[in-house]
Amino acid sequence: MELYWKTAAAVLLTVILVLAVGRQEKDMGTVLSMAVCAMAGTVVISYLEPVMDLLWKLEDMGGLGGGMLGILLKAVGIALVTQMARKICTDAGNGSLGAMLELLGSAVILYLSIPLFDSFLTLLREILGEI
Amino acid sequence: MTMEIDLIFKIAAIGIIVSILNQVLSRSGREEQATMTSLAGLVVVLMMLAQKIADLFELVKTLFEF
Repeated sequence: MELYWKTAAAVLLTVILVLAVGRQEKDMGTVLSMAVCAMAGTVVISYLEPVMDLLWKLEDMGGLGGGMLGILLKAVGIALVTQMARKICTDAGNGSLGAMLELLGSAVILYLSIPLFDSFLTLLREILGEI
Repeated sequence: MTMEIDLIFKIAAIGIIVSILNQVLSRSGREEQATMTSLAGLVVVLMMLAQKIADLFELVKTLFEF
């Protein structure tokens, strides 16, 4: 938990530093906030690791298999990175780039979930074929 | 896993130094050199940042099994 308090303090400190530096050098303020976002993201990942282990254990216990959980986790990873990058773009005053990044994230998640839709359609066909 | 607070101070310090240099050069009528100084400072900070972003992406790729 020590890491949480350190990260929260660092983020708050960065807000002040970005305000101080960004007044003269706006680009430097943006770079500073990006660096802290990357470092805070690293801390987030370190806390999420045990959660992921638990999810894999649950998948084993439930006997899901078939790579379903893997696809879902990939989608979550892409969504997290996309959201962070979009917020940075918006803060830097490039809303259109952020929107395009969001679109890219959505497209990649759709692309990743093709096997899920495919297996769902196969299942539907099997069920309807039996009737 | 540690939070490298040093990096935040480093980037802020570079920002302040570049800002001061920019002001001094601008006031003495050397706008071109001021722009180049800002650009150089930005490149230095971006090089520091690129490693952190690469680390983050690598961690995300490992955690979510890409």
